[in-house]
Amino acid sequence: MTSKRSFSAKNGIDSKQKIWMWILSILTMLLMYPAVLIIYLNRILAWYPTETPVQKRIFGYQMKEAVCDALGYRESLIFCALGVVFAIGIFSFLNNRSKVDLIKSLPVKAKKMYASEYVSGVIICLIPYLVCTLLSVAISTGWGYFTALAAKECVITFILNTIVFLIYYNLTIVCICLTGNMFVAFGGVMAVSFGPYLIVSSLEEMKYLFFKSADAYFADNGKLLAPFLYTQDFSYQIKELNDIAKEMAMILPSLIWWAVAAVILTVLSYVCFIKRPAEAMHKAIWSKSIRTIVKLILIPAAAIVVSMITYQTSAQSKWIMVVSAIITAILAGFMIEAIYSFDIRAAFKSLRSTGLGALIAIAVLVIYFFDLTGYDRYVPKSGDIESYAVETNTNMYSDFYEIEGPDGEDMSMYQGIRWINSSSYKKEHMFLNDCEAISRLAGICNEKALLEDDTLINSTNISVLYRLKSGRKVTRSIRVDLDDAESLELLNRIVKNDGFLENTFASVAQKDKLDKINAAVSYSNGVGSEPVSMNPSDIIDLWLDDAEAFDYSLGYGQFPCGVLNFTMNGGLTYQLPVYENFKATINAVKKDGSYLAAEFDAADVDRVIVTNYHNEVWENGGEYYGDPSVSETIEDPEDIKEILKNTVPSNLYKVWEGSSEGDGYSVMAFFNNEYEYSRKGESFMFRFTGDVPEWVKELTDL
Amino acid sequence: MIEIKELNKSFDDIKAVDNVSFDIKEAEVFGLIGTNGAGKSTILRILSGVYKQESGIALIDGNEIYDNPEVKKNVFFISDEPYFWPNSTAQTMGEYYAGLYDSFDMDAYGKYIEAFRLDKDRKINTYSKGMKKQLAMLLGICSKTKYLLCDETFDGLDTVMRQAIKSMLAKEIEDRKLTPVIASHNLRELEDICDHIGLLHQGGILLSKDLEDMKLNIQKVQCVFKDEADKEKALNGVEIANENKRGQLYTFTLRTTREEAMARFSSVDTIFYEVLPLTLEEIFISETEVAGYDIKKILLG
Repeated sequence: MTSKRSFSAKNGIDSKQKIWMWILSILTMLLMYPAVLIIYLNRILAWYPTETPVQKRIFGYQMKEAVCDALGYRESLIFCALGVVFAIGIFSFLNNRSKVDLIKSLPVKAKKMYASEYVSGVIICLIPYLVCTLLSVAISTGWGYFTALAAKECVITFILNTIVFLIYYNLTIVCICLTGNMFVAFGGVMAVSFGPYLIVSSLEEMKYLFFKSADAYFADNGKLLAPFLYTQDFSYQIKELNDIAKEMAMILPSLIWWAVAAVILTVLSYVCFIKRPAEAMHKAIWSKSIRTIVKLILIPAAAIVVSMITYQTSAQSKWIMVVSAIITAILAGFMIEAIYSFDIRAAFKSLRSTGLGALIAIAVLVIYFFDLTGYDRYVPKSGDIESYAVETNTNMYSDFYEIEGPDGEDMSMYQGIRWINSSSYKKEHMFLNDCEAISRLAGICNEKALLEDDTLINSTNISVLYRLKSGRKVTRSIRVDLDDAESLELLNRIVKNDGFLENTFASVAQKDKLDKINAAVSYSNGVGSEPVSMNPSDIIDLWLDDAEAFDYSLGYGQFPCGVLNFTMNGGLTYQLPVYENFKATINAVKKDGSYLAAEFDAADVDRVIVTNYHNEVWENGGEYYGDPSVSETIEDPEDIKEILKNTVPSNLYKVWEGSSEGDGYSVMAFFNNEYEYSRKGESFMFRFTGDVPEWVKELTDL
Repeated sequence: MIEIKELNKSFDDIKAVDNVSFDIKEAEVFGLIGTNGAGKSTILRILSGVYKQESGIALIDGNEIYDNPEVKKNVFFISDEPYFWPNSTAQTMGEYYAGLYDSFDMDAYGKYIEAFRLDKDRKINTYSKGMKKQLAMLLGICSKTKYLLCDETFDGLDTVMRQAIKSMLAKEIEDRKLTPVIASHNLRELEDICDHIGLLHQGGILLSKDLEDMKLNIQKVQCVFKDEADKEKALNGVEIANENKRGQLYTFTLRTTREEAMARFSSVDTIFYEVLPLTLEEIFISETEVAGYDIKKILLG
């Protein structure tokens, strides 16, 4: 009876103390939702005319888009901030002695006290949010533009923002309950928010610096450890998709992880509140054991992060790295002890734990320096591999789109198309099962220590994602010696596989969809472009025949002579490189009358400007003040001819080739009106394909 | 009844309460005396459920206190710096406590507020320190709890107010057997109100005794003897706690009853003798000296 009465009595007076939070929450939500919606709609009303049927259709589409954008507005940083501010506003009383005397002496159970305080913070945030969202829905419905898509955006956004709020609200409560000082608590929130990401990033960076087989292409970063930094990913992933099952498959793993994190933090905040003694106030961290644990985490973390920075800024000296790690560990230990006691004189306390922290940091460095975990020696047995994905630097463009959603004319603008980078696409779709080939390639690389061999000239690196039968995923880089017959044969086995081609070139996997949406096909030689009248799937089939017969050794060091473009609604384009020996493709394009020769006539070019970036001045830590680039204009037809012979349009440049001398140069060619595919004076960027002529080097010397 | 047995509480390396044991009977005013840092406030916070003891027993009516609302509804704690909600008034604070304590007497509260001339609608943050202490005391008394724990509550009150509050406490004790526990660093504040005194020093308890018992067994006698031999005769066999002589005038502090002291001095030939009441301070001086402590240093600086 008492607790019931006290609960409501307490809430009554408490709510008066929290008026400022209500005002903050209401203003924030009004600005984030109804206000943003009105601004978006007003912009469309002001900009888009509605006089003709077409204009009306475009206006309607824009209005629907604006409603979706406004209702799906996900600014997670705002919800993080609200979580932190509300937790501080509600639970900061734990650091006020008089208030604790009052609250803790009242005849109210601690768990009821917690529930009352906790729920008030959640209500103050979510009630205005819900009301403002409903207000936005009412406004959108009033205008007649509230669609199923907008409803979905609205619901997902509400769930995401609520989870982000709960994570930070609970995290802040945990930090307040473990500490006795608001600055330390806030520092704790910041450390937990950014610390894991910083540590994981530093360890990742160390992996790439010290392990030769480390590969970033398929690697995951610390997204799960720093959720609020990555909620925007969802926006790209789920926006505009209409397949709810597929969307859920995409977002559920992360959503579940965050929801679990929110639940764990809620339980933790409750336990910390109940366990926190009243005398904890004014102490940095009240629990001795937690103080030691925090110290033993912070010291190695600080030492590793700082030593990584010094390593990279000190011409990569391992000694400097070790010394800076030791100094940082000791200083961090002193600083932590001084903060624990709020007394600089206490810096030298607990020297044993400071030393232990330094030792952990050194142990981590030693593991990386001497590869004690055998990272570089790892070669999975073919029988242990379930499937794998590879990246062989064969794709010309790393980012591409996946066609989803409705077909045909409903697919206006970017609707129904998901942006996805090639790495993620391959992780999702490429499941190669010639495990023997990849295991053997990795074995050869390891046996011959190819990653450490600086004398290899004709070689290529491939990135591999092994999916092991044990459920583990492992990423590694393998170096392939292209002069070794066995290696070349194994590599060709992998790249000629349908699974490889389909998932390396998105257009191959989605050729039927390209047909359905009537994607425009064109052929380009890197400068001009001609429409191709064939169906996308027909020309892709021919290209596949050529690609499956293609020998990697021919491709290596060779530049494409052209590119096939598949342009979708809204201007998004897929591209497929075409090589000289892609006979079936080239013959079809020629038959279609769309072929453009890869060779350029010097008579079509007025002048070229060659720029030497003089990258050599930066090599080996060199310093140069100002821009060392030297540009020269060349107008002599003979010189232009020689330059054109040694260059390709930059549109065709990024291919199966390593770095070369020409990487340090660029060539700008200005075409005249004799050339049919460009306007007079239009310019195109070219790149040298290999060695740069000596006279060009002399001409552009510093 | 409040029972404390071998109670211990430390703050990091500081032992705030060191193996303290004493009992507080119902309807008696218990004075907890000690210097700053002696552990008085810590004991009160343990008894009110703010702190949890490290070891030992602290029971109220046989029950543990920490996080036990059933016990805490019989206890009202007045901190040395009472907290009032921002922008609250005497009226809203009364309503707040009325919601928390079933027994809160709003009518009595209103009458007391009027009697103490506190404006019930004025914001408490504009009150003086003394007014806040009065208000806290009124809230405590009107909560009608069985136990009232007061931490330095009389500090900052003027003499008139102090007397008024003492009268209120006396009435409550008589009417409903209230048990106040009053902590103070000043002996003189508690002299005319406490029934039982517990003296704390450096976290430990030096003594815990009924004031009446102490007063019954210790007497101050001023006397001028006609002959020094009469002094020997009068004091033969009685424990002398203190002895002073100024000119011919002797002042003795004797461990005996008033009747015995009077009998001894009337049986010898004196020019003048008088048995005088001892102040609490004087009683403590003699009691703690027996225990080997210099009370003047402990309590009076």
